[in-house]
Amino acid sequence: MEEKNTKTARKVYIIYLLYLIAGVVLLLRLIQIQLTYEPNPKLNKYFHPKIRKEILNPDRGAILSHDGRLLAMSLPFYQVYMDCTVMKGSYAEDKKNGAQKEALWMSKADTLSRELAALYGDHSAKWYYELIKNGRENGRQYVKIGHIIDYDTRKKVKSFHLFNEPSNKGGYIEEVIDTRQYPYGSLARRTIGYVKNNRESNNIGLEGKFDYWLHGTDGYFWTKITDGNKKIQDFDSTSRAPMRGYDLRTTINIDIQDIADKAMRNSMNLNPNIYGGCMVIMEVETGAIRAMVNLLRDDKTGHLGESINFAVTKAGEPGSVFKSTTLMSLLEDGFVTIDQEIPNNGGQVPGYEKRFGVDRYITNYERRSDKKTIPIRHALEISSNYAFRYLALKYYGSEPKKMIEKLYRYKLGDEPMVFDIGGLASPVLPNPENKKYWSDTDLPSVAIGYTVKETPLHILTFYNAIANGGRMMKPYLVESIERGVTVEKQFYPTVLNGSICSRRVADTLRSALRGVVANPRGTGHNVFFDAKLPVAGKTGTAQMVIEKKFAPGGKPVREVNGKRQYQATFVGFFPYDKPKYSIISTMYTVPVAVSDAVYGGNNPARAIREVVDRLYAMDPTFRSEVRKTGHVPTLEDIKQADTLAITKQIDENDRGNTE
Amino acid sequence: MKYVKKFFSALIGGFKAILMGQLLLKLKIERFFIHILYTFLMFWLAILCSMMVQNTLVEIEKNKAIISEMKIYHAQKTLQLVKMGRLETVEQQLSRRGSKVASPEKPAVTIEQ
Repeated sequence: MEEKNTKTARKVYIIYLLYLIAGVVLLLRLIQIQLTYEPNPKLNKYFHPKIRKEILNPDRGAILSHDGRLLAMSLPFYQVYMDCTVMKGSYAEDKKNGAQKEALWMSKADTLSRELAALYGDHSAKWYYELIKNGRENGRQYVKIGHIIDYDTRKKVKSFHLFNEPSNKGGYIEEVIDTRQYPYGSLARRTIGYVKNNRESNNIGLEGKFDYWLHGTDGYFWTKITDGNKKIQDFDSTSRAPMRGYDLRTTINIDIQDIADKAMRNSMNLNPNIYGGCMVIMEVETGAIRAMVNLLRDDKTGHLGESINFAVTKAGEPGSVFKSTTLMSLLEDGFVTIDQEIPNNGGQVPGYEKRFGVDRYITNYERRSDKKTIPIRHALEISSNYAFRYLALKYYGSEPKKMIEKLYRYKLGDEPMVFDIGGLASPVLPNPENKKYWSDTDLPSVAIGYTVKETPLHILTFYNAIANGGRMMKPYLVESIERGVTVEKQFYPTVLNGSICSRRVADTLRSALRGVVANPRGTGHNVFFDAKLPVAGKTGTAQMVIEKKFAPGGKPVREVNGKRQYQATFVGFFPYDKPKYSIISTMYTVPVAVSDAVYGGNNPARAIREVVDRLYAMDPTFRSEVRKTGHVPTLEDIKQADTLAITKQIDENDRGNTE
Repeated sequence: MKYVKKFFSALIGGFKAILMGQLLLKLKIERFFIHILYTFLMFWLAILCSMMVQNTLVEIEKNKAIISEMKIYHAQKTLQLVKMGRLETVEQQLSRRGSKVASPEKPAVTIEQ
């Protein structure tokens, strides 16, 4: 018994010794690993925990209209790919049922192809089937399926055969793509700007100018893999949440923009010779831009699209709309009064008979009125070139610098004006002190809007000041920069010049501009005489220097093969008695025969007329109020939700009132 | 010298005890047996908690993905609604459906408050 116990103890002791030796070896190995072990660089990654830095892209801030409606927002879209090789290997290894399973997979792929063809509509079912089949044969693991799709479509795609199975069996792979969406389509697109996503930026519109605010800040965190092979955030490492970009609240009223856009399209489509045009609507009191339309006709399709910001970037000779600046200077300097009569001189400027020829408006006037003089007011109404050339030469001929300096005061000079979107062209004015380039015809030309270059926005800003009693407001497009309910930065109306002219002169000009529309001989009368709101404004038609793309050899000429290029403008404000909005519409033609010329009082005025009539009906400003004198029915003991009972009682009350 | 001798004698004794498998008995570890069990329990609990935390974090990741999907869904619907709210679209829809409702031709008359 004792011998047996000794034998057992010896066996246990040997086992113990083996464990002890193994323990010592393990201990030594641990020490060696900790102090001296260097793993193979290729295997190194397997000896470290799998942690990875994930970058979180911020959401780009939204662009909002004046009343908070979304003009631009970010939205993820999806691009679907397919791993065509899934299960192929395991089916090949399965000698018993592999072939059958492979056939079943391919039949599902066939159904999937039909579903994809029906949804995307870009290729046939056969094409999709061949794509998957070839992909499977050639071991392609990332085959692009269709184009990018939105969330709803992606849900449908995920319900298709194979794609509704786990991705290691069906091969479904998706890539989330950040996209920028513009719910109102092309409306104000050139003003709002355009970016594909938050990674790229450009200099177009508000998207470009305010990219710094809209972009937001990247975030990051570290991930690690759990024992169950799941990816989780590693909270032992640092992390930073992404900061969403700021929202931009603009001054744009999207309903007014819609109306203006439609009016411009309607008017421009009346004449295919008009290749481009713009319309800007500004709030008189503040300078807030409520709508900015820019349309360019596609050479091939004739479609009008927002691709050039004419209102801001195109500085051209404004033509007769510039006569108001001359008149303002004359009135402000006290040289003339609005009803003062000037000699007709047969429509010829003394000393410039050959250069400027005969003003037909004056000879027609003479014939009509049998008078040898014309009131300045009427000269403006009929837009006489002679009258304004004559007046400029008479009163500023000896001192042209005085008149040019006035234009600088009206902010029509070449000093840059800060604006909320990039690319605002600077005006160009001739300088009387530069004798090399100044000629004796420059002053009378400037007086009628030639040899100067102004953007439609500059002209509108000037007319807005007339409507605003001489107070010139800076045009602006951005009201505030916000995040959630917090306003980070507020932009207020800014005065560019508190008084470009006296209140008296502004009122005189307003009444004179009303005459352009109200007087039956006025150039704006035909379009506006029965407008729903009283409009005041000025027409202007300028023969442009033929643009390079239309001129042979790109030479600056005013006529090619008897054809001329026109810039037609109507600019004004409404309602005349209490101006709420100022508005400009400019249209540009391709070179056309004189008989096909487009005039400011025609297509541009028609577009404005449509806007005026529609705004009259829709803008709350123009609503009238009635006194509360009628009988108001009492709705008693009726549950709020019981609308039928309420209607019945109202009907009964109505009957009672009529009886 | 005395202490050195004592130290080496303890070291040799300890080594012999390890070889004989009697080290723990010599150290009278049985007195601390309950503490050892408690320590093991603590280790087990720590591992269990760590695994539970990991499971919770996995759940959080799943929820994050769901919330992200819901946000995208919400944004998608918002986009669709805004598109439908465009003045011209509303007018076209009304006209297509033969509705008598159209854009106003004169301003609304409000009742004085």
